[in-house]
Amino acid sequence: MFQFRRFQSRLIFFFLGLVSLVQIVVFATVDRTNTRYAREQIEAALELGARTFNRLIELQTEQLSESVRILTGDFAFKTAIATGERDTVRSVLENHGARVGADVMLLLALDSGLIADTRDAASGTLPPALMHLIRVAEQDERAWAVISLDGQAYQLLAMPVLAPVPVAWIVAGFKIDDRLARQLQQFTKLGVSFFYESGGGPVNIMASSLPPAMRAELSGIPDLAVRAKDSVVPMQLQGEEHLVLVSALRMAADTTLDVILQRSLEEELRPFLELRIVVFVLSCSGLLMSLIGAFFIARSVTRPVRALAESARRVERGEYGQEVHITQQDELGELAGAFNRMIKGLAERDRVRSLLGKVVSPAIAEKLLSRDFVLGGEEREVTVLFSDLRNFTSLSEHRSAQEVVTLLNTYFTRMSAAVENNHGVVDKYLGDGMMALFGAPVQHEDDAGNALKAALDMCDALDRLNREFRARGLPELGIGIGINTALVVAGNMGSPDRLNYTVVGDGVNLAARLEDMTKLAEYDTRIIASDATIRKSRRTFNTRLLGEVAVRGRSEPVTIHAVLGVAPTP
Amino acid sequence: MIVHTLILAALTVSSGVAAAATLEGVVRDAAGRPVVDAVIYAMVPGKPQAAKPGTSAIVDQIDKEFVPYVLPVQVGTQVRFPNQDNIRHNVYSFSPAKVFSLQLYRGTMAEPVLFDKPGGIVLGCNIHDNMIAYVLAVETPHFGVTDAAGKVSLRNLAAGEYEVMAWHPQKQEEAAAVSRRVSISGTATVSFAITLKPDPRKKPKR
Repeated sequence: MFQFRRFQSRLIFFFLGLVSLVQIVVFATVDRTNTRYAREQIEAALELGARTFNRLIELQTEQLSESVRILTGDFAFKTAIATGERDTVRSVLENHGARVGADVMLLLALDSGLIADTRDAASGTLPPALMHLIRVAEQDERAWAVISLDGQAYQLLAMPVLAPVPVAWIVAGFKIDDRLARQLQQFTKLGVSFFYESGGGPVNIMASSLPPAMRAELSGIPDLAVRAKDSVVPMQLQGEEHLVLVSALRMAADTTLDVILQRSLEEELRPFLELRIVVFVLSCSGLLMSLIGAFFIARSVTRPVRALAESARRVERGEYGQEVHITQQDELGELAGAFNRMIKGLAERDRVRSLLGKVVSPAIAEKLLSRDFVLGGEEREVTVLFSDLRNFTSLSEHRSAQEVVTLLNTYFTRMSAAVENNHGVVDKYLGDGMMALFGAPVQHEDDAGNALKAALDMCDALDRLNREFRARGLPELGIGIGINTALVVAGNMGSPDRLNYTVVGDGVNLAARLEDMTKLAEYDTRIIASDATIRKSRRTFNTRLLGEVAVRGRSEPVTIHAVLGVAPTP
Repeated sequence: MIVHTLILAALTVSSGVAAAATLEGVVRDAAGRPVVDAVIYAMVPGKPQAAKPGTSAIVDQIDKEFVPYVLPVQVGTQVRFPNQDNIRHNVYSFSPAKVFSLQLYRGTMAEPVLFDKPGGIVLGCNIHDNMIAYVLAVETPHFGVTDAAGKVSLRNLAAGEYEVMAWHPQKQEEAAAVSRRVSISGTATVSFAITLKPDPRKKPKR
């Protein structure tokens, strides 16, 4: 499965996908409905059109025959007919035919012989269909049919001239031509083509409202008259889909007037096509808007998230200075607020830690800051180191307090470094003295050895310091260090408001006593360690046994050693 | 037409007086265009004059048209309607000045019609709707029909006072509006401006 690396892309993809899907479904549904609706409409229009058309032809036929009837009732007309003179009759046929807009007028004798014909070049013989029409008119008093005279189709109406009994047949003809087809098209909004029935073969169109190319195409379709007879049939005409219906109009006796009615589906669909364009544009703009919306929503999430991530990276580097600026009021705003508070808390804790580290040793500070920190203590084996500065009182004389503090601080800085380098912890400064712990609060491998090594390092550091002092014309300093290893009580001592991590016990006091003993000239050493420490140390040091001494407050004497240096490795 | 003009000439000559005068009539329409087929006639005020018995005129029927289109006659004139076509025609009038109908006939079969009252008469043929002509019966021998230039000359009038009137089949004006009192001696020109209604004759189809 394809995976987006960015949340923004994922959101946009999801939104677009969803909206596209909805739009496509809506579009397809609307389109399908429209097309079906249009087709139904055209079919209905065609069927209605066919009925309208039939009625229209009926009405027109009725109106024409009524006109012709009135015409033949005109006395002057009858008088003229009664002369029986071919030219007079023809002139009156022309004159009266013009009154009703007839294109051709014939006067036939009762025995169907032609008396007069308004056509100039009329062939003498009359088509059998006309003879048949007269036969029908004899029965029904009037009759009509579409009959071709010299290649031109006419709607012919036949009725008798009464004087007062039939004296002749008047036949009024109205051209079935393109003009009539176009007129009918105007009324019915349908393509109208008249054709002769040709027994299942291609239709023979005599008049049509269609352009010539389509007319030709229509007449080239085999069995059209059979296929579309009284049923709507879809058909491609001139590259457009049309719905076609063939309708037959009953005329005199058993003859029919056949007509092809049609309508372009595309023309009918045009408003729907416009609607389709509108829907399409709407869909596209909806898509675009959702794209923009998704982009902005995604950005409103990803931007603060990125800012938070960036801030977290800064915090990781230890930069607490910058807050995350997110003004949003939503969950992300809440997150940012919480994040800012967290940074503030971290910064506070860091500050406390660094301050604490200045006041207490970093290891103790860590212990203090740790959550499991409790008031109380534990018994553990600790190597305690006491140091004291010699000649400091003489050094501090004649010097300003500022100078004294500076000198002392320089000294303590070096000493502390020596302690810490050996995994020791400066427990407290006592005037010019210092108490250091090894094995508390954190136990290390060879705490006793570390303490001894630290004492030697302190002496070296002091020697280096003295060389500097000498160069600056300052008096040299001496040092005394006592070291003891014993089981003592270690823990946070004091009140809940003010605590000290420290160790107490007899062993601590002994270490202080040992430091004090370095003052004795007979020992001639700067470092005195108890036998316990020497024994506990895993490393070997050059020592000198100083003997057993009785210590105040202790029933048993203590064996002490002067520590001289690190033993060369064997 | 020729016959009628001769008779007219004979009439005017016979009634001639020593001091002969000529009336030049001009008829124009509202747009100033010359009006053809307008009748101008001059009457001696208060002295209507009927034609002498035996006076006759002719309206021909040629190619399904009456010729002339407008025929002025003096009251009392016999008008003949010879049919020059090979088809029959009917001539009828429902005009108050003369109601008559000549049944369908050929050639000169129809009897002449006596126009014994003054006024305009519309002639028709009941089987040819486009055949229309007019006869104007006036009570004076002094009349004429305007030519294509809208002009007509009435010669050999006795000098004196006349009521000169213009008439046209399609004129809209009342008679009084197209009537002038003119004193004529020598040559006088009388102009009329008339407004015409549309011509009822249909233009021939072919």
